[in-house]
Amino acid sequence: MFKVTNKAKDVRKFRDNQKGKDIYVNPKGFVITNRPPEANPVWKIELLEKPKVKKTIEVNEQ
Amino acid sequence: MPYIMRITSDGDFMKAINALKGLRNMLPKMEKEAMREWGKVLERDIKRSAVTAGIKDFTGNLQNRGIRYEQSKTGKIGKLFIAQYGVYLDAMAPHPVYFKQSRGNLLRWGMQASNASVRRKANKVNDGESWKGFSPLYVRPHPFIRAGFKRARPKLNRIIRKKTTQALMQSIGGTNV
Repeated sequence: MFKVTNKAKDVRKFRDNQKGKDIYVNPKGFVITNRPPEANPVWKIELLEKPKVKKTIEVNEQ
Repeated sequence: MPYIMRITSDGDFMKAINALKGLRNMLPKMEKEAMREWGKVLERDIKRSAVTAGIKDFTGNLQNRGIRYEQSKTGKIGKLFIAQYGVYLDAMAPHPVYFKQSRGNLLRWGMQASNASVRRKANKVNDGESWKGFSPLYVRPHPFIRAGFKRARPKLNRIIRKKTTQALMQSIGGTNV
């Protein structure tokens, strides 16, 4: 999951190949998508997924 | 809504009196359950009515939490919440709206509109042309609340009848009524 933010001052669009349609984004607005456009001065891309942390069990040996 | 019930017993009056006492306790509970069930029906019918009226779920959330029925846990009061913009959509006066660069949602809708003239205006304003050079878009109300209520109201009788029968059967222990 990526957060795609439009940094321009007008409505911009990008192509989402997974949905097969254009996504229009408000100025200073954002959408959350799986297929983000390439990062450039207009689009700011942020990864939303947190890295998975393996659970460790600590055993106190006495 | 008056109901006439005929309760027959096999001659045991104490059994009949106990059944009536059980019914008296059971009916308010069933009334709340009936209202809760009808509330869900009302919510669903108003959402369907919104779709029928031509309201697309473009920016808002009328199809999710924008319309919802909530009933208090203890009382008999149930409330149907409709988002404020839904009420405006239902009963606004027809008026003109200009495409402006500050109206991002309207521009975003206009750029994807099926009407070519609307699409052209939205694209030109978005590209930086002044909004004063273009004619406005005329918007009208899309009444859906009353239509949804009209759809849901006749279903209330059936639900109450079903719940009353259930209460009766539970109070007399599942014997014939």
